[in-house]
Amino acid sequence: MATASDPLPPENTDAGALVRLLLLETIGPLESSYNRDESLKAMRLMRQVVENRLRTPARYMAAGATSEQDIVRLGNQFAGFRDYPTLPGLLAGKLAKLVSESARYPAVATFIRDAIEVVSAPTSGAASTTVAAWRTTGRGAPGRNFRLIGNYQGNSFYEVVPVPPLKTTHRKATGHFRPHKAH
Amino acid sequence: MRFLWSSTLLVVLTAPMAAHAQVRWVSPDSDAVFHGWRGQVQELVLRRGKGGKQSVCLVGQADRQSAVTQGIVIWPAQKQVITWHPSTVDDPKSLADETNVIDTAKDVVASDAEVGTSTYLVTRKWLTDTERACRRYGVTVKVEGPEGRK
Repeated sequence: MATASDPLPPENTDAGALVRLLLLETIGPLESSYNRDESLKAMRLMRQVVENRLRTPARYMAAGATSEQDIVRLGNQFAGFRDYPTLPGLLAGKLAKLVSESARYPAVATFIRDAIEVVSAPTSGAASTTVAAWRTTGRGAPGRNFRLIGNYQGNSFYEVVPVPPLKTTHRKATGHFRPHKAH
Repeated sequence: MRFLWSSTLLVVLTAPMAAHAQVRWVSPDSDAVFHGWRGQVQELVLRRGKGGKQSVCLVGQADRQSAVTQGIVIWPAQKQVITWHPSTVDDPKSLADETNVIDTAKDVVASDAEVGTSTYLVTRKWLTDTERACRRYGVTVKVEGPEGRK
């Protein structure tokens, strides 16, 4: 249960996993490029990514996932979350630092509250409902099948490019293929 | 009509490149956001490094679209590439506390296909290009690690 000294949702819940992911993946208020509006956009897109992956988990190395916690843990997709709720020392330290600094810096308290509100809102409110991936800005796209939506707070967000249906050629049932004569 | 064709062609030709072109390399000495970077690098090596003299390369990356400027720290002795967002409150340990770390022994893969939809894996080509950019636009310093730590 969240308390004043630890405002984060319990770590063994979907909300707890998502809030921690958002806080660790987004630039915080004590970092030079922080912008609250952009941060909210990034967090909403991140929630939408996790929700979209939960619809087709096998496509994102998370076959069998049935919850948001599974999505953040399976397939080695999100740095440091493979053994969630256990986090590597650096990430756990950053979270602890954020929580302790929230008492000193109101902007940090707001940042944490924003993450909790984004996760607990009825819908993500993301600018894109088809967003499927993000990467640290400058590290390249996930692949050819992805299209950049935008860069927010150090991350680039991508949606899947729909694969066009295969073209079929119609031939007469009795016809034989004859190459065109060269002119 | 000709103008319409040529401008349409221009958009088609440049659009796929735009996503990458938005990020440009900058020297840490040319952007105030990196002030005090030498002390940050020293603190990083002392807190997270092994003993002995080691070289660290730092280059800035400015994203025009989102107005985010970040540092890329290449630290071969630790097999790490760190993305650094400097602190606004003069925290001397902001680089040493940075969590966005690529382990070049584990997180570098051969192809885009292997990167897949991971948020953090990178290709060998990305690493090579980044190392080259760091040599060209960034700064490389030799730093003494903590005594007695192997």
